Amino acid sequence: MKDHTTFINHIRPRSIPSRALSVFYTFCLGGLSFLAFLVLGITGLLLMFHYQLGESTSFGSILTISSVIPYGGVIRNLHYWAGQLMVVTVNLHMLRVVWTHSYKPPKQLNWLVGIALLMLVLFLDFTGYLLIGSQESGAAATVAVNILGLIPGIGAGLAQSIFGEPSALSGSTLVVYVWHCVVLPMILLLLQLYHFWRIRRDGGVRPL
Amino acid sequence: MARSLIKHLIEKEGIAAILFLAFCTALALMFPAGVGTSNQAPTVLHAVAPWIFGPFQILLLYLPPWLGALLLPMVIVAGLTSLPWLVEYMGERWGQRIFGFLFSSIIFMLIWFMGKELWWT
Ligand code: HEM
Repeated sequence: MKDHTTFINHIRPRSIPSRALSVFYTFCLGGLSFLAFLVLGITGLLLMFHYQLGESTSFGSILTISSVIPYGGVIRNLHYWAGQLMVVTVNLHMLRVVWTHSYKPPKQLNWLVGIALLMLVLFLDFTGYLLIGSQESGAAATVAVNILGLIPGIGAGLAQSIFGEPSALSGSTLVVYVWHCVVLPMILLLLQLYHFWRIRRDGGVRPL
Repeated sequence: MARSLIKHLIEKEGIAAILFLAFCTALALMFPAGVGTSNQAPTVLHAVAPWIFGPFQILLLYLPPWLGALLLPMVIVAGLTSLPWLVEYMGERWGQRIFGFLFSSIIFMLIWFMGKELWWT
């Protein structure tokens, strides 16, 4: 079968295993995770128009988005809920993969990619929470900085490169903003594309 | 040519996508995302982690930080990650048991957290 040798055949294969057509095998959970990612990308971009980063401005701009900017509230809520649902769908997707034993060779590399995706999603969730700039976000950032600081030698530097210097009253720093809005989504997107490509390379979604 | 309406994967995934979007929109319209407490008038907070990090908060609450916040989470993530190799070397049954144990302990801590912080206080 030379189906996956060219890019065009890859995205539009002539044939796929009929078992792969069963919704009750995947429950569409991987696809829904990606859909949630797309929703997050679009709503996140829209939020960026009005979000004002800063220890004393972040929180206020979130309030403005929620209640003053036309449709701002619903866009923010969509961003929030898509984020929560993505965590749920990704975890359920992982359980499905375990249930169908799809982590076995040759798919173990994609399992590793999946775990990386899961970690990225959790980290995105956390940095998003910090960007609200509420007191709670300050507390969360402080806890995270202290935890990383426990790592001998590199801890303090690591904490600073991931969180900047958050105050106890607001976790929204420029460093967190760049991770959340640029770096993490980019890595997540690229890894997801690699994940999809590997599915085909490993023989497609079907019982081993 | 007769063919069943929802025959192709694309159609099924498409329907799932529409349902998912509808569900997400319904949640967004019905339940506003929380904003937390303003930092302009600092108060003494009983800071509660977002639910996703509930298991973390439980570990932190009862164990010293180096163990609860660093070592154990690393061991748990390493355990989940190594599932394919656990299965290869220890057999299907034990590999899946270890995974099941680790994953259910996360869920257990999550329920513990929710009961403690969200529902009963
Ligand atoms: C951003 C998160 C993720 C996205 C968007 C995603 C997407 C997908 C999609 C679309 C599929 C095709 C089958 C399906 O829909 O179930 C798939 C398969 C797969 N995923 Fe994921 N995934 C993600 C996270 C994960 C995680 C956390 C794991 C495991 C730790 C994982 C492991 C796998 C494996 C092993 C397959 C192949 C399954 C098979 O051949 O039956 N993925 N993924």
